[in-house]
This record gives sequence, structure tokens and C-alpha cells, in this order.
Amino acid sequence: MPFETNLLQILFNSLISGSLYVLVGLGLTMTYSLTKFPNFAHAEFITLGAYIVYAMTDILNLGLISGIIVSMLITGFVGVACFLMVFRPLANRKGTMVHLMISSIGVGIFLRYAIQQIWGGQELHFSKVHFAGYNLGPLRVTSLWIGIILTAVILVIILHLILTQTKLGKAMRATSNNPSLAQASGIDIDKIIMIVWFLGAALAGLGGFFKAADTRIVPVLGWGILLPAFAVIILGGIGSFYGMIAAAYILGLAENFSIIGLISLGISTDYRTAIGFVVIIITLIFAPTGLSGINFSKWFKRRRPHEGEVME
Amino acid sequence: MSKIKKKILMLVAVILLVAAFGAGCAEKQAPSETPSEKPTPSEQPPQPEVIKIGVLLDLSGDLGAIGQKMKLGAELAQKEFDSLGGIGGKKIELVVEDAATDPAKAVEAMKKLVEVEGVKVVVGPMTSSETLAVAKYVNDRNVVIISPSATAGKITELGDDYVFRTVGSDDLQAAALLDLMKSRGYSKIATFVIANDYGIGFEDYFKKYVPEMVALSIRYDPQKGDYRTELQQVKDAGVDAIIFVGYVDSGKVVFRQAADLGLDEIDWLSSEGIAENVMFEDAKTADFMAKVEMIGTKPSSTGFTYEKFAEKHRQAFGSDPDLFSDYTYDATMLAILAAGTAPSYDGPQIREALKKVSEWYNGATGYKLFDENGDPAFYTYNVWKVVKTDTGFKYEIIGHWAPATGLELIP
Amino acid sequence: MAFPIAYLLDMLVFTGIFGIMALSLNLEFGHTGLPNFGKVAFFMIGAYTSALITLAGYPFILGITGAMAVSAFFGAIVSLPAIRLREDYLAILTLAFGEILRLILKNEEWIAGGVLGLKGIPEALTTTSFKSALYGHLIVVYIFVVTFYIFLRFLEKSPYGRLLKAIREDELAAQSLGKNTVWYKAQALAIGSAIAGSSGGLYAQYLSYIGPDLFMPVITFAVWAMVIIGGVGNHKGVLVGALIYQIFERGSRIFKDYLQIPIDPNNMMFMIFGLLLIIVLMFRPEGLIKEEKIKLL
Repeated sequence: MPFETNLLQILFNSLISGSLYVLVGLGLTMTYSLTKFPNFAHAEFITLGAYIVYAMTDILNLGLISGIIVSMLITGFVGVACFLMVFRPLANRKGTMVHLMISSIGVGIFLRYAIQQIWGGQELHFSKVHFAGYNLGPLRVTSLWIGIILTAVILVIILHLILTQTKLGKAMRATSNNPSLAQASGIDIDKIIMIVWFLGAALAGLGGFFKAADTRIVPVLGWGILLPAFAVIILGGIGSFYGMIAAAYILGLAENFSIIGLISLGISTDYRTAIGFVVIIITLIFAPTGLSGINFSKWFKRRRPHEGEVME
Repeated sequence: MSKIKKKILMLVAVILLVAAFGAGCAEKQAPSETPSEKPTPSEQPPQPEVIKIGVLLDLSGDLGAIGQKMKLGAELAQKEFDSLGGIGGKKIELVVEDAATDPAKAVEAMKKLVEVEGVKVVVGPMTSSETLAVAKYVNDRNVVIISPSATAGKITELGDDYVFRTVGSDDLQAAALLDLMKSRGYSKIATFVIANDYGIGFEDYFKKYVPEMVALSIRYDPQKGDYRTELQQVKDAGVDAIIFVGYVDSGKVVFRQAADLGLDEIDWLSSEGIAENVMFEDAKTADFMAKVEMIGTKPSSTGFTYEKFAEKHRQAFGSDPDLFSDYTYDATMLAILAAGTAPSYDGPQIREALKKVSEWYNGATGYKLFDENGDPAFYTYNVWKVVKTDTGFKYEIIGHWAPATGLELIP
Repeated sequence: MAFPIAYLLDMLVFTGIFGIMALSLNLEFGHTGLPNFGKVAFFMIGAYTSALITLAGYPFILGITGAMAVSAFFGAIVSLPAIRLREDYLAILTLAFGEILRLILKNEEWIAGGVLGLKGIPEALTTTSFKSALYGHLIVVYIFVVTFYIFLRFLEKSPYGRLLKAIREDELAAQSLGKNTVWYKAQALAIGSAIAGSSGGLYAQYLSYIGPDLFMPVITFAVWAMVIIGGVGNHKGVLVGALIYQIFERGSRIFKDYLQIPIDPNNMMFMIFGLLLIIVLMFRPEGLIKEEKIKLL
């Protein structure tokens, strides 16, 4: 390296990237583990969230906080509507996982162009909210970046408490682990699945707002972050809450520190986009259950995907 | 099994029949395809009621916002002729298609214009990869295309054919930028370019001609939206200046994040991709560009003819012309003049007429004489600087560059 | 206005090229149950291989053979880790593979021209006029379509094809009969990739230009739509699906000129397309043309 790198700043940048992945990945891993298919329309929930905050703050002149809340509610309901109108009927008609996947691509295409129809294809910005930047020792921070990191941390704590301390959380975990057993023990799994879809889409909407505030609002906003989000939930292990959080920050670090490597090796920094894809491939080849499936005490023993993973 | 065999045989037979029939037709029509022959009346009516001009721009997708504004330039040219009663008594009809910033779509749309609409001269496509993708087809089909904004050097290599452009190659603008950099005495620069034909074209130029100056070169993915670490590396590298090449959409994101990171102590240079007033719609971007006193180059749009065009644009649409709408206007004017003065509405004749028209046409962007490769023979670039005015922000022209004269800064 | 015969023929050429892609996906997914979401990668490998070979001065037939061989090789490579995975993981892995490959071809100029791609790719047949060239392309493309169609029909009827279907229906049962299902799945992916590669080669010589922007993931989704709409598991069906897709894409471009609607035609086309996918999956999951039952003696 011909020059001194501000490693602390890059570490901080990794935290921002990782926190954004936490926000968009949480919902994706939740619905994935409960309804057993990768929902490609999650990208459009992210986009929709950003646009609704825009409509609330810039068009209707609501405050930012109320705008975000309304946006999360609407995005959540859209998520539930997609589940009730498309994914559940399709699953009831014996649609396979691949059918559900393709239908989610169909839903995504529909939503993306509906959004483009309503708000236009041109990029938009939140003009009513401003985030100041200041120096913090050797670090350069803005209130938005701190907001992203804090929101992710607070959300993780809240969700951790819900999952471990409340009846709802226990029911959610039980449904995710074994739906028929959960049903037999008197859990209303339909209700649980609906709550999870609502939460998942609402969180995607929140993530979408932060991503858009950090960049700009465009109809392909969600699509740009969907594949890294898949990388994160696969690395974490589908449905694994803690694995996913670890994976989000690992990918954040890998992406940001890869820049240093790529620059010093004289390779195109466009390959940064490929880091997520490489993570997907390596994880799926060597540890398909992700971080959550690795038995760290015996980790030199080679694992094979066990039969329990085969879907019904 | 035998049933299937029969069906397959049938299918083969049908295809061979169609092919044989087609080959027969092709033989018959073959003479009319050669430019020297006079067109047969059935194929090309020599006196069409209206003259159709194809307009193939990216009206959606990544460049949709720019394309929509460029379309106004084409409409302005048409309006001007229509208010004069058309050309040679014939009305002008613009047939607009969207290439959606996708070369595959551009090919499909071009074929629709030519085969379904019967268009023989097209303004567009916008990007270099779209132009390269349609080049083979338009040459085979003898359809003239005039791109207002495809700037890759590789298009020059297409040679004497049906591909023209009203804008100069990126290599020339890179040369202009390089002179600007030298005039400022930089010894170390960083390039920060969009990872597509446009950005990489500039990066390649600087790496080829001044490799010792380029301390750091970064290509960014416009979809990624997270450039903090890339920008931090530029900051840490201690370069004199950063050369940014990209478009409006991702440019705003890069400048906002650069502002957040406090990357305002080095010089910022850029090219025409962001030299558009929409950059100032976002206050933070505008403030940053004014604060760093961003300078850059863009294909020339100054002088008496440009002012006349800008005035007409304001009258017609109530807004200042934007990036490349002047080049689109000139491309459309040339297309109309060529199609109107050609003896018949036929590709080879329009091409010859276009070459003649280009000898005297002086449009919004100056004289448009084409060289033997279909590139403009004269080109000047403006040097702009972002300044804050009482009412907002603007790109002030602070100099010019032309290959013969080099860089001339207005004192 | 004269009847746009050239436009129609061009549509048929595209139908053929993408029909071959649909056939290959049908072998992989329709018959063997492998959801390959990286179809565009093998299309791209075929296009670039064939372009590089023919640009080096070798004949088209060598180019297309090379395209098939290299694509099959990559298909086999990808299959090694991929086919042990469950289907959603396989889908995401192949999608990631396609994107990595495109990034490499875009950024490494020394491989094949980088971001501006390769131009001036020689055509399969040298002809004198535009029209005869178009018929030439039609013949060349449909020779491949018919060959692959016959081959795949033959394969379907053979014990080998029945074995692939058995793997799709119940892999465990196939295994318990002593069949090495992983080996057969790898073969299916390699054959499918070779067919997709030839389609890429045809595409490259038809356009005479290729660049990384032409190989976006949207092509994969389009091929999936052809298979889903036409009829999963039915080779005739997916060819019909390819035709429907072309008619839909080009038809919407023409119809917009006659339709006065307050919705942007481009947006409307995609919204209808998304809905169509959902409706087909929901109400006619077998597609327009049903898969034929295996006839037992």
C-alpha cells in the first residue's frame, strides 16, 4: 500500500454496510424460514418502503418519524396481501418451491413497474430531511450513518427480546422449527405466519428508507441490495437470527476491506459487487447450512448437508 | 413414435418451403438492395406524403431521465419545420421508440422502426453499446443512423458506413480533460468512473497516456450506492485531484457521500455526464459541487447558434435545454434536411444527401461536417465550472478546447 | 405499408434462438428438476466462445462446436457443488455464478473486449443481400432447433429420459434402485448447458456484436417465463412459450401506437407480464401444453 489507510473509517463504513444488510436481511430470512422459499419480491418491499416515506415527508409534509411508521405499516400490509393473494393460495395448490420462487419474481416485476408508474423512473431525494456530518476524532460520521447503525442494533435487541421472552416469539420459533408440531400444540400457525410476513415486509420498508436516504430513491433500489441480502441470509443459515446478524457484518467487512485489496492489487473495484456472490458460492459449497450449521467444536470434520434440509 | 416422426418431417418440410420461397423472393429483390441501382417503385415510393424520422432514445431505464429531455430536442426540430409547412411541402413525422438503456431492446426497437414503420433514417441510439449492437443491422439494411450521444472511440472504427454521430469521441474529451489537468499542474490524480463503456473509456485513456499520474483508479457500480470506502481510499491516497466520470443519478450519490466524508479539500474534475442542471435539484449535491468549485469539460454548446436554439427551447417547453438535447436537435435537423433533399426516401440516397447537408449546416452545436468515419470533423469542448449565483447554481463556461488550438481559458 | 415480412422473420429467428434456451432449461428443470437460474451464464459462455473462435478466422461450425464444448464444461463444473444442494440453493448459486461471470467479462478487457464487447462477428453463412441473409439465419437456427428437438424427444422416450424424470419425481427412490442420481444430474446440466451454449453462438453470429450488457439476469427470467407459460416438461410447449414471449414483447411495442392509455406502455407491459406469470402458476401450473405422460408398454 503506497499510502496510509484510515482503517478506523473503513471499519466504521463496514458497520454501516452491515447494518443496512441487517435491516433488509431480517425480513427475508424470517419469511424464508417460515414459508420455505426465497422471496424475490422482498426487493420491491424495500423499494416501496422508501417511496412511501418519500410520499409522506415530501408530498404530504408529514414528519420523518410518522412518515417512517406509516411506511412500515403500508409495506407490512402489502407483504401480507402478497402472501394471502399469491403465495398462500399457490402453496395450497401444491405449488413447489420453484413455483413460489417464480411467482415471487412475477410479484416483484409487477410491483416494481407499478411503483415506476406511480412515481416515475427518475431518481428522487428526501428534500425535507437533512443529516449533518461532523468529525469524531479520526472518524467522519453523519447523523444518518449513526442512525442506521443504532436502528439496526436496537431492532436486533427488540427482536431478541421478542423471540426469547414473549409467547409470540416462542410460537414463532416453534412454527419455524416444526410447523405441524407447533399446530398440534395449539399454536395458530396461520396467524403467526401472517405476523411474520407483516414484520418482514415492514422491516424491509424500514431498510429501504435508510438505503434510499443514504443514496437515492429509484425503482431498482431493492433489486440492487437483494443479492447481497441473499448472501447474508445464506451465510448466516436460513432462518437463523443470530447467524444472519453475524453474516451481515462479515459481508460488510468483506466488501469494504476488499476495496483496499483490489486497489493495491490493481484490479477493478467493480468486483466489489462480486464479493456477495463469492460468499454465496463458497458457503453453499462448503457449509450449506451457513454459520448456524457449523459445529465449531468439531469443525475440522467435513459436514454434508443432512437429510433434514430436504423440503417437503 | 411414428406420429412424432411424421410431425417432425412436416415441420422440416414447412421450414424448408418457407426458406425456399424466401430465397426466391430474396433473389428477385436483391438488385434493389445495392445502392447504385434505382429503387423499384413497389419497394420505395419516391414521393412519400410525410417524411418519417425515427427517434430511438432511452426513455426509461438508467438513462431514462436524460433521454426524455433529449427527446424535446428532436421535437423542437420537427416543430420548426412544421411551422414552415414541412420540407418541400412534405410534413415530418417523428416515430419515437424507447430503447430502455438496454442494447438488446435497442436492436428490437430499431428493427420495429425499420421493418414495421419503414423508417430509413433514425436519430439515435444514445449509448455506445446500443450503437455497436445495431451497427451491423443498419449497415445491412441501408438505414442511416445519427447518434447524438454515443461517444465511445470504438464507434470511429466502424468506418465508412451508415453510422453517424453529431458528438465527438470520448478520446477527444479525455484529451481536453488531460490538458485541463496539466494546466492546473497536478502530479497525482485518482480516477473515479462508472463501470460501463463511458467511464471505462476515460479511465483507459488516462492510464494509457499518463500512467504515472494515475495513483488510483476506481470503477463503481451505479446500483451499489455505497461508495464510502472507495472515496476514503481517494482521501487517504493524498492525490491532487479526483476525476469523476459518471451520470447524474449515481453522480449525486457519489457527491453526497463525498460531502459526508469531507472529501472537499482536493480538486474535482468531471465530464459532460453530470453537466446538467438536474444536479442542482438536490441541495446537498449542489452545495458540494459549488464548494469544491468543480470544473470539467463537455461537448461545446455555446455561441450565437446555440443561444438561438436555447431561446427556441425555452419558448417551446419553458425550460433550458439539457445535456445533449442540442446534439439531438442537430441530429434531427440533419436527418430531416437529408431526407427532405434526397431524391427519394431511400437509405443510400439519404446518406449521400446527409454528407452534402453536413457541409453547410451550422446548428446549435456548430458546424457538423462529417469526416470519412461519420464522426464530426470539427469539435470543440467547453470548460465549465460550477458557481453559486444569487438565484441558485449554474455551469459557467470558463474556457474552450479544440484539437488545433488546445486549451483556452477565459481570463 | 407493405407487410413487414422481415420483422416477422426476425421474430422467428429470435424465437428459435431463445426456443433452444427454453429447450435446454426444459431438460434441466422440466425433466430433471434442476432449477438453473444461471441460464444466461451458459448463453454468454456460448456466445463469447463462438465469437472468439470465428473472429480468429475459424469456420462457424467450429465456433458452435467450441461453444457447446466450453459451455458443457462449465455446466459440469458448476454441477459439481450445485447438484448436491436443494433446489432453492441451486437456484441462487447459479444466479450468482452468472453475475460473477458477467463481471469478469466486463472488467477483463484482455479476454473479450471488456465492456464494449466484440464486434464484427462473422455470420454463419455469407450472403449477398439482407433478405437472403435473413432466410439463411432462419434455416441455420431452425436446423439447430429441429436437431435439438428430435434429440430431446428421443432422450425423453429413452430409458435415460425416464430415469431423469424419476430423479425429478423421487430422487430417493431412484437412489434406492441403485442409480447414481448425482452423476445423472451432472450429465443433464452439462447437456443442457451445451445446448444453451449453442444458442449463445447463434445469437452472437446473428447480431454480429456481443457485449456484457446483453447478458443481464433478465434473460434468465425470460427463459423461465417461456418454460413456465409454454408448459414445463413439454418440449413443444416451451417452443410455443418462446414464440408467445416474442409475440408479447414485440406486440406490446406495436400495440402501444394504437392504444391511448394513461399508463406508460413500457410499465404496463411489465405489469401484465408479472401478472401473467402469477396467473399461469396459479391456475394452469402445467402451462399451455401439458407434459405428456410416459407411455408404458
